[in-house]
Amino acid sequence: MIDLSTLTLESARKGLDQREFSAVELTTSTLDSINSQEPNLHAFVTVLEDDALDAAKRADQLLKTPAPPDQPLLGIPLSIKDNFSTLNQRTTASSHVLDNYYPPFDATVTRRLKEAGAIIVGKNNMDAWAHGSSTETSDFGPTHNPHDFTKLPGGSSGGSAAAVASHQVIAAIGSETAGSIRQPASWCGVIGFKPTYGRVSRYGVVAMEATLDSPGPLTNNVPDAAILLGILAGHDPLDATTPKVSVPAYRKDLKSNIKGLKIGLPKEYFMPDTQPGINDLVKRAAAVLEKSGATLVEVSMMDPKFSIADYTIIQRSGVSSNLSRYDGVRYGHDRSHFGSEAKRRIMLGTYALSSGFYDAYYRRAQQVRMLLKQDFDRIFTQVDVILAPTSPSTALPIGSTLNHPMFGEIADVLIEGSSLTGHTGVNVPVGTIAGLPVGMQLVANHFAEQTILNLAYAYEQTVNWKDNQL
Amino acid sequence: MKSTGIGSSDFAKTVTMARLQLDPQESKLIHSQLDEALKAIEVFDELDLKTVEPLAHPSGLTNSTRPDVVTPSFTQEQSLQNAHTTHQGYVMVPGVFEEQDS
Repeated sequence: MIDLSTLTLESARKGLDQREFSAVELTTSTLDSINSQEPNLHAFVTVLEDDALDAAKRADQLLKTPAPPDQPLLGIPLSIKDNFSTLNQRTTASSHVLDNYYPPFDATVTRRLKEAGAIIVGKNNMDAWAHGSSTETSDFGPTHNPHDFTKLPGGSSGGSAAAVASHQVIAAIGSETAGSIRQPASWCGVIGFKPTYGRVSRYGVVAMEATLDSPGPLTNNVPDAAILLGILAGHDPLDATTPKVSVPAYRKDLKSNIKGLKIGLPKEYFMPDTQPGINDLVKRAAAVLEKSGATLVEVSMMDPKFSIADYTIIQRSGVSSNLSRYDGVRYGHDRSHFGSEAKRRIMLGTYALSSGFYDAYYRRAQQVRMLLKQDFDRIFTQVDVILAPTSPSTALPIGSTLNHPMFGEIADVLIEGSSLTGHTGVNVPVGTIAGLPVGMQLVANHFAEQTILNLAYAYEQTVNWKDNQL
Repeated sequence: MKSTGIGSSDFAKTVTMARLQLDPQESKLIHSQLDEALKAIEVFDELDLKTVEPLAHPSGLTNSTRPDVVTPSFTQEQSLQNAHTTHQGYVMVPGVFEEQDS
């Protein structure tokens, strides 16, 4: 048995290349870790045991010599959120509508992982259709937080975050529309990286909102996030929203020298009603970056309350449009299989887009989105990076979303603005309160992923976040 | 703009447009939750939007196209593999027109 809690993508690579262990041994250990913890966590919708072991055997055939540079993940098991299409493997988006759906193709994210040699061991649980910030709206039941099984993992990529935090897998892939990577990463205490909108292809992802969805990695350290981002990023002819912007060598260029970087702390994001202790821990983390050479400045931005309202209209409208294709004829079940959260969102979106109400709701929301973009453009002429808490609370109890139709919007209040404007952000764990993780988010300008990777790396090199206990 | 909530006829029309079937209890709950969500939008009233252009998406890309060439696609078998009902190589769809006695 290999102890997965001691492994990173790089140490796994080394272990496989030096034949300290085989891909079959690593995959078997991963499956054992998944199966032994699933009764407590429920981080997976589907575990692909047979397919993973077959892929591991094929990888071992190739690993008689070290992996070639273009296959940095050869023989390494990973899991992906269940909204990424996987060729002939069930892809449900945690909805009963799709519980019999076997895509005849791979998502670009899936294909790139496979081409890099990764072994897909399973599909992670999520809020159904990614509608939520709790993983509690999954039609297959909630995922539990590994730090406290009575708590939510956050969402919608809660299965991916819990699987990484509990070392069921070394790393996982999630997707974010507004907070769905960063917020569960915050609640589970892992790195969650949301790339610039368009940096990673959406092709083959079960769509939520087409102008927001951004796939990205969840990992236990910054170098692993840099490695995965390098594999996933780049133009895809199958997604017209991926521009032809060159992809840096994120891992190779990772450096902890952050001298000269200017970090803005928006006073509106350190809200007075944030759970006590969170603002302090995040400001303490900012001070660490200052000591490492960055400059801190207080800035003022649009009140995040506008992002809640704006996101609610933009997202629901996208949902009603994207979910209109589900008719149960060509694939999946009919519309009677939608859960209550999906129905609620379809209804609001349909109303906001309907004749007579479009101007009052959707068009106004697009205008507010423009104001948000102008606000972020202005800020990024003053500072390189924005630093703030990721979430206003630590993980909340299972059941918190019941009868709270705006739960997700409130939980993601500090993330929605930078999502609507398409910026890149990362959650970095900075401490714990009563044993539950707290995260800070670093947000940078479009395609400046390297800047926040370096800042996160500088912090990680200096501080063991688990030592910061309140 | 103060939200006065969704009127019952607009709500019913929206259910039809959304092609959903809601039982009375579900309908009542979702109706009240929609009213609550629309109340949250009232904060827009604090902003002056008169001269602000709408932003459709954040990437700034326009007219992104790819070459108009034929690329490999699904086989007929792949296209049908998830269909609810098939008939002689086609997807069977629910009838749209009602039969009438002549």
